[in-house]
Amino acid sequence: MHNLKEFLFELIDMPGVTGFEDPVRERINAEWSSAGFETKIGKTGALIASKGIRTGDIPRNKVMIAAHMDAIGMVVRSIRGDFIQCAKAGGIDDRVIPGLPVTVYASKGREIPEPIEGYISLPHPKSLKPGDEEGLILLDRLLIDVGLTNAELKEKVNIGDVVSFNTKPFELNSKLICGHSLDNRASVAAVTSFMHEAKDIPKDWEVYCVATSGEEENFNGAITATYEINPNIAIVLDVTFGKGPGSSDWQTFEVGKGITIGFGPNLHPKLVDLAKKVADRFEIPCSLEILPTHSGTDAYAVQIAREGIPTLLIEIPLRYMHSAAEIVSLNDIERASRLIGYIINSLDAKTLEKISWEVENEG
Amino acid sequence: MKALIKRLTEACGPSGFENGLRQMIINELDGYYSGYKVDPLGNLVVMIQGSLDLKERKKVMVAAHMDEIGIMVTHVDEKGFIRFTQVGVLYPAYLPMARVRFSNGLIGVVGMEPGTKLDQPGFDKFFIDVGLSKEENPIKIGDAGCFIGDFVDMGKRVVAKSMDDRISVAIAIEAIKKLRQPKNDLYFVFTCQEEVGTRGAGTAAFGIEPDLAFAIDVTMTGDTPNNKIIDVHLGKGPAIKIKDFWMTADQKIVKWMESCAIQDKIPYQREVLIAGSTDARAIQITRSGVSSGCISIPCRYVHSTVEMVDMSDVEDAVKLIVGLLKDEIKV
Amino acid sequence: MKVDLVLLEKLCNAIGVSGGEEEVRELILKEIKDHVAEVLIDTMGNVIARKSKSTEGKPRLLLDAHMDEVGFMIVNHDGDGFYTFQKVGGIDDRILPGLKVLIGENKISGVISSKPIHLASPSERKNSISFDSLKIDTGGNMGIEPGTRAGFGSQFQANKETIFSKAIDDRIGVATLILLAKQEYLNLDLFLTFTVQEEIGLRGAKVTAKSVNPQAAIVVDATPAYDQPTYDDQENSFYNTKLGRGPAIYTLDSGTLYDRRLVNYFEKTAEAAGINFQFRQPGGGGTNAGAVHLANTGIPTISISVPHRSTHSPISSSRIADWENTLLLIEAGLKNFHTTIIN
Repeated sequence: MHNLKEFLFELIDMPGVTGFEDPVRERINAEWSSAGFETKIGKTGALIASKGIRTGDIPRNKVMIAAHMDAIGMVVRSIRGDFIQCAKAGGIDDRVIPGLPVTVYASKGREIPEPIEGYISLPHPKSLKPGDEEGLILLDRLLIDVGLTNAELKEKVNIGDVVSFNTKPFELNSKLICGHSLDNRASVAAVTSFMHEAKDIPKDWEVYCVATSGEEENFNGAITATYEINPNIAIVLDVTFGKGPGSSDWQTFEVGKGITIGFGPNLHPKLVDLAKKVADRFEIPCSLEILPTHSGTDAYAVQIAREGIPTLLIEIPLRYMHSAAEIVSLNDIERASRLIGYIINSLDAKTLEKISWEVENEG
Repeated sequence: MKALIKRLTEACGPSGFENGLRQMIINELDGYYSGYKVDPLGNLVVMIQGSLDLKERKKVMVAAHMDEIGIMVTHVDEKGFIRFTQVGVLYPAYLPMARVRFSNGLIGVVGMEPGTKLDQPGFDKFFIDVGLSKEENPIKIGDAGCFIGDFVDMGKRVVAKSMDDRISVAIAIEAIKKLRQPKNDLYFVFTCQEEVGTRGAGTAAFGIEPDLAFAIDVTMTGDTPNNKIIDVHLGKGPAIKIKDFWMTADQKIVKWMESCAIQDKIPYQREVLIAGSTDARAIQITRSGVSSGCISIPCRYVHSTVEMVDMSDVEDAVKLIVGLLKDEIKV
Repeated sequence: MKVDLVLLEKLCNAIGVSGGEEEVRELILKEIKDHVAEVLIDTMGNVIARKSKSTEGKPRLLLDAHMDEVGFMIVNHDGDGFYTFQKVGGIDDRILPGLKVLIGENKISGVISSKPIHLASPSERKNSISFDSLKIDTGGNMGIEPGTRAGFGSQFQANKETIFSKAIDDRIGVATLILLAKQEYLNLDLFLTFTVQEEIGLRGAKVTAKSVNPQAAIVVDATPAYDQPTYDDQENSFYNTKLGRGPAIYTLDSGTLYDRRLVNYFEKTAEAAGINFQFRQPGGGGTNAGAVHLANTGIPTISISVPHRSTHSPISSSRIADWENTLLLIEAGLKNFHTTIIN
C-alpha cells in the first residue's frame, strides 16, 4: 500500500474512543471500500468487510481477520466550574495523563460535534483531598480546561461527550511512528494494506475483514461480529509490548525487528504451526509470543464465539502502550500485512481438515 | 401508583427465587398482554402484539429485573446463629442491624462480631439472629432471604428496599397498561438474576432476537452531601444512559430517547456512571448484537433498605416509555 | 456402580495443563469409544460424546467434567537449564519451593528452586518466597522451548479409604463420566462433554454447552473441603464441604444460582436411595456450570462434586466412599430423570 504512512497518520489523528467509534469507522469504511471490499456496519458498531462472496456456489469456508479500531479515551462526566470532569473509556493510565492535550467533542444542540481543544490540568495540591497531594492523582480528581467559562460549557458540552488525546503524531528516525491510538490503529493499517494488496482470494475461501469496536472495554464488537460471520478460522491483529526502559523480559519484543505469533491456550496450536511455517518460508521475522493463559485481546472473545473458532493472533511490538506517545515501526506493520497475505494465500480446501484435532486420534 | 410500588417492594424475591414476583406481575397484567411465557432460567416474557404489518413491525425488548439482592445461609452454628453469604452485591456498611425475612416467613436481625470493620469486603464477621437455638431453628444451609425495608410515602419521594429494581417493574407495568395498541411487537421481559451478573437478560434476548432493546434500572445520584460521583439528581427527570462501567449505549438509541423527551416535553438527564451496569449490557451482545440503551431512575442509597426515588421522575419515566413505544419507531 | 481406582490412577497421573490436555483426551477416547454412539473433538479440543443415536423425543441431558488441571508454562530459558515459568490456573505460591515438576511430552523432570534459608536476609526470612525469585531447575540445558507446559510431578496413591493424588480436580469428574458412560439410559438422550481450559475461565464449557444445547445439565467437579480445626478451636463455620459426608450438591457459587428444581430433585433422589450427601456452602468459587447455564436460551444446571482437601496442590485427598456415593447419586438421578422435573 503506497500511502500506508499517510493513512496511519490520518487514523491516529482522529477520534474513535471505545464505544464511540463512528468517526474513525467512517474513514476506514471509505478506505476499505476503495480496496474493493463490500462493507456493512455491525449492530454494536464494528465495520465488517467482505470479498469473494458468491451466492449460488458451493458454500465456502470463511476466514475472518479482525483488528480493533477503538482506542482508549474519556467521556464527559460532569461540568464543575469552568472545568470538565471525565470518566475513563478503556484502560486509561492515570500516571501518564496530567498535562496532556485533549480534544472535547462538544455535541450539545448539534448534529455533528464541535472539536474543542484543551488540556488535562495538573491541579494545585491544595485543591486535592488531603493525602492525594503527592503521588498518583486519579482521573477522578483531574479536570480538563478548554478555556471556556461555566456558562459556555453548559451551552456547548453534553454529559457523555467524547474526549480523546490530542498529541500530534510524528516520525522518529528510521520509520518509527510516535502518536496516540497506535494501539490498535497500527493493526488496522496493516489489515488495510493487506486488503489493498489482496488481488486474488483463494477459491475455496471467503475473506472477511473486521474493524472491531469496544475491545478496550468489553470486546462487544468481536463478540457480535464473530457471531454474525461465523468464520471457520479467525486471525486477530493487535499490538504487544515493545522492549524499552523497564520492559525487557520474556513478554517484550524489539520494535522494528519483527512481529509475533501468539502461543497459548487462547490460540489454536495448529494455526500457530501453519503461521510459523508461512513466516519461515517467506522470511518474515517472527517470534513466538508466549501467552500462558489468555491473550488480553479480541482473540479471547473470538475463540469461544458460536461453537468455537480456531483463532490465530499476530501482534506488532509497540512501546509505551496506553500512553499518548506510543511507538511502532512501519516495517513491522508491513510485515504483518504481508504475513496475513501469505497466510490467506496458503488456505485451501484441505486446511480445515489439517487443523482438526481428529487427525491425531485415528481409530 | 404508590400502592403498586408498595406491593412490589414489600415482596420477597432475591436472585434465583423470583417465583412470588413472577406471579404478582402476571396477575397485575391480566388482560393487558397477547401472551406470556417463562423461559428456562425463569425470565417472565410478556408479549404485546403490534398493529403494523408483519414486514414493518419491529421487535422491541424492554427489560426490568424482578430480583433483588439478598442473603443465602452458609451455616447454622451450635448456638443457632446463622452465617450467610451475599446474593448479589451487599455493602457490609449497610448490614449492621438490618432485618432479614426468610422464605418461610421467619424474621432475623443482622449482628456482627465485636471489632468488625465495615469497609472491608467479606461477611464472615456477620451473622443473623432469629432468636432460636440450633435445635429450634428450622433454617438450613442454602435457604435464602431478603431484607426488610418498609415502604415510606414522603409525598414527592418514596422510600423502600428493592426500589432496585421494583420501581422499574412498576414503571413497566404502568407503561404496559397505557400502551393499548402499540404499532410494534413489544416484549416486556421481567428478568431474573440481574443482581448476580445480568444473567437472565442475555438468555432472554437470545430467545427473543429483538431489533432494539432498552433496560429500565436505577442509577445513583450525586445530590447528597459531599457526593460528586455522578451528575444525576432526584427530581430532574429520568436519566438516559450514555455509558456505565460495562457498556456504552447505542448512540442511535440515545438520540431516539432524547428526541422523544424533548418533543413530549419530558424532563431528562444524561447519565455517565463509573460503577455498575444493567441488563442492557447482556442484551447488547447477544447473537450478532442488539441496539441497546437504558432508561435509569435516579435513586439514592442504592442497595440499602432505604432506597429513595422521586415520584415525578417515576411518572416521567412512564411517560417517556409510552412516548417511545406507542408509535412507529424510527431509530 | 463401583469405583475404579485403576482408571482414576491413570487419569490422575496423566498431565493435562489447561490448553494442553492431549494425554487426558487420548485416555478418555480409548475408554469410551466402545460405549458411545458418537464422539467428536471440537475446535478447542473438547470431547463431545453422545450415548445413543436413537433418541426419539427423549430429554437431552448434558454431563460435564473438565480434563484440565492447574500447572505451569515455561516462558524463558535463562541458561544452564534454569527456566522462568508462569502459573496456569490458580496456585498458591507457598506450595512451589522444592516442588517436582514434569515438563513437556517427554515428562522431563525439574524442580522449582529457591534461595536456601541460610543465604536469605532477615527480612526475606520473615516473608513467603516471592514468585518472581523462583525458577525451574532441570539440571542442564534439556532443549526445552518456551511455551512447553509442566505439571505437578506427584504420583497417585491410595489406602483402603483415602486417595492421595494431584488433579483429583477434576480427573475424579472425568472418571465419573467414563464410568457413567458405560451404563445404559433408556429414558435419556445423554451427552457427555470432557472440556478443556476450565481452570483458566471455563473456556471449553462456554462452547460445548452451545453446541449440545441440552434441556438440563449436570456438572461433575471436585470441590474443596476446608474441614480442619481452627487455630483457637472455635467452631469451623467456613468448611465449604467435609470429607466423608458424601457428594456435595451446590446451591450458589460466584458463577451460578443453581436451578432449585434440580437441587430438590437430587436431594430427594439421595434421600430415597439412602445415599449420604451434603450441601456445599454457598459462596465463592465456581464450576463449568457458570458457563453452561447461560448458553443459548438458558440451561437449568446442577453441580455435584466430590470433596477434596488441599486443592490445586501436588497432593489432594478424597474419600473413596465419597466418590462411590457421587457415582451412585448421579446414576440414580439420571435413571429416574423425566422432563416434568424442569417442567
